[in-house]
Amino acid sequence: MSLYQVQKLIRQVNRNPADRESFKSDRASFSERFELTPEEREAVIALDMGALYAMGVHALLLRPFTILHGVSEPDYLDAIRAHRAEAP
Amino acid sequence: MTLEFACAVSHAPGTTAWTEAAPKETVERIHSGYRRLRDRLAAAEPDVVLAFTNEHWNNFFLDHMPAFCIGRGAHFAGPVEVWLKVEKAKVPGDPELAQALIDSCYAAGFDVSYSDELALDHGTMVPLHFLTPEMDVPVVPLFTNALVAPMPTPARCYALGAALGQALANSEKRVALVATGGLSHWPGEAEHGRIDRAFDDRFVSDMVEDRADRLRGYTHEDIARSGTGTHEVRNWILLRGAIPGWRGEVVTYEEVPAWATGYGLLAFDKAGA
Repeated sequence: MSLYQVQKLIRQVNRNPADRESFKSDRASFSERFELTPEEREAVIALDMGALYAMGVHALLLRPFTILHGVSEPDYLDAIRAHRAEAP
Repeated sequence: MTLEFACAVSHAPGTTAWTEAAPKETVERIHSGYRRLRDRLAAAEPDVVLAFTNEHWNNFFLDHMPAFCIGRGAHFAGPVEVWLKVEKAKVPGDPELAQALIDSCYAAGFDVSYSDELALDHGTMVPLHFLTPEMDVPVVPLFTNALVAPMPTPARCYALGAALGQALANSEKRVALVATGGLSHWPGEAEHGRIDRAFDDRFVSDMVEDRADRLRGYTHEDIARSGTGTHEVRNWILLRGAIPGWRGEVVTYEEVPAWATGYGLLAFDKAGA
């Protein structure tokens, strides 16, 4: 059920302004509130969109999350498509 | 019969949030289509809008995912998205009608969820922004899960729409039906921007021509092949179930890659029923 926790983190950042501020000011400590795998924690802290997409984070959680972090649509699409291209 | 108006409209956030990304002529045709629908809705003088809609993780999550949920609140806040470029509003609800519909659903064998506090996101706010821009017509939202499988089957959606249509026949209120979402799109996915014109043409034709058997017969996989966001056409199927025999008309159809969607505006006229 770990994907559940990383999606829960992203959803809270998307919809709760206080959580959004906490996350933006210290991603690592905000991430401690959730039961994440090391890979998930790393991807969240690095805002690694390709890795988050590849692990199955729902696109309608991920895209709003990246809009809130100022990521343009072309940059977002490049990131998730590049990750797909790398997949075996 | 107190159903006075029905339409089905796409709700892509780009419609308001990044309007200028689409060609000017496309935007004008869509705005013009919305104006026609708004005029027809106003002429119908509805007491309330029943919105067949869906939401995008703003109320429901994997801790609890209802198949269908009717909003019974006295009002609904929206939009959730700070970037949507739609003014924040407190949209009035109609708890009395919502309760009557919930009771009708249970009596008809549909044990729907209900909620007294729901937020509206672009899925409902973009259509309202164009159709009832003053946000002064009360809204009862019916949310259908179009996000994660399993989702209600099209056949179940059609049947629920039919039950609601029958329930509203006994209502004293003048009701406008607005279905939102679709058509083919893959929002935020690697396929973002792709549009399945063949699906859109087929589905719109089934809606306009009132082909109930075909609408009921779509499978989850039929829809999934044409886009992750395309599951929202369940809202349109609900609408068709509520208005058998109404004459359908395509007001506008546009492929809008800049908003990553096949964009449809359909009107329905009960004169045909």
